[in-house]
Amino acid sequence: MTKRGQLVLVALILAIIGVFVFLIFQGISKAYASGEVALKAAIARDISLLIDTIYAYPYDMQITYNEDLSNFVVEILQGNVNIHSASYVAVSRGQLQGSDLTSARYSFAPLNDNPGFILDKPAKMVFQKQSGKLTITP
Amino acid sequence: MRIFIFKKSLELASRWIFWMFYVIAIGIGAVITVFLGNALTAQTIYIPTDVEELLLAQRFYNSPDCFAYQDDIRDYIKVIDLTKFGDGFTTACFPTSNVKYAFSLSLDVPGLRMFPTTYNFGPINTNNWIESFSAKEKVEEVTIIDGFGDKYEAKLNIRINDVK
Repeated sequence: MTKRGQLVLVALILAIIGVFVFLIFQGISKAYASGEVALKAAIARDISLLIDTIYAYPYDMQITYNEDLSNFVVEILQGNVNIHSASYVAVSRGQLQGSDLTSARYSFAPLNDNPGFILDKPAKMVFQKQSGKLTITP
Repeated sequence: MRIFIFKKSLELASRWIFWMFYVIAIGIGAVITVFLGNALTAQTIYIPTDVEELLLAQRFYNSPDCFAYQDDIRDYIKVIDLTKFGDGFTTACFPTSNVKYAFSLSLDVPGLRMFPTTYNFGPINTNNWIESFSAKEKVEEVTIIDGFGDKYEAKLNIRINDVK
């Protein structure tokens, strides 16, 4: 037979876990329902295809990507484009802080360079290729 | 506050077997939610496979980091420098990456000065290439320039595998 004091503790633990699980599910559901996840995935694919296109183009070029990404952190690293919500991830001294459970990722195939860029809430992105070297700036 | 109206349930919750099933139920719920969400999202933002294949394959004959011919003035689109064919394919042109396509290239060249009959160069494969009967094949009409500076019309056979 469990004592009354122990039952209070069990009830409290259950309540706390319940709230925690509810908040996680609510956050994930909200991200999916609001279209934020789809938008992040679409941006990741868009940017990956854009980089593949730039690599396939033989000459110097510059493209301005005019989609407003000020709600996101764009990380281009090791052949992957990762899009994180700026609400969950911050950039500090060029490093990502925090984690986003619903971040989106898509891969591209780099050439002999290995582009690494982190752009914090960019209102636009400028892709530039000069003498075969790709640079991405906000 | 009456929190003991379900006293028996709370007693049950103090047993380890309850927590085991609780964790399993939460886990299954999370997996279903994320799986459904991802499936619906992927459907919404689907990219036709041909588009991505084409974008990736274009580098083979357009980029001087791959096999495109380059002189002092400019790079030449769809002109392949035969002396470069195969060199640095998996390092400079298409290094290991996480893209879901693998490529195998071969070049059919009729009537080279050094080889009077049709000669086949390759195949050269990307690092993620796995031989498969289901591989798609595209043929690009290209011009090649050999080591003597002679030009020939040739066919670049690009085999494409979906590796994911």
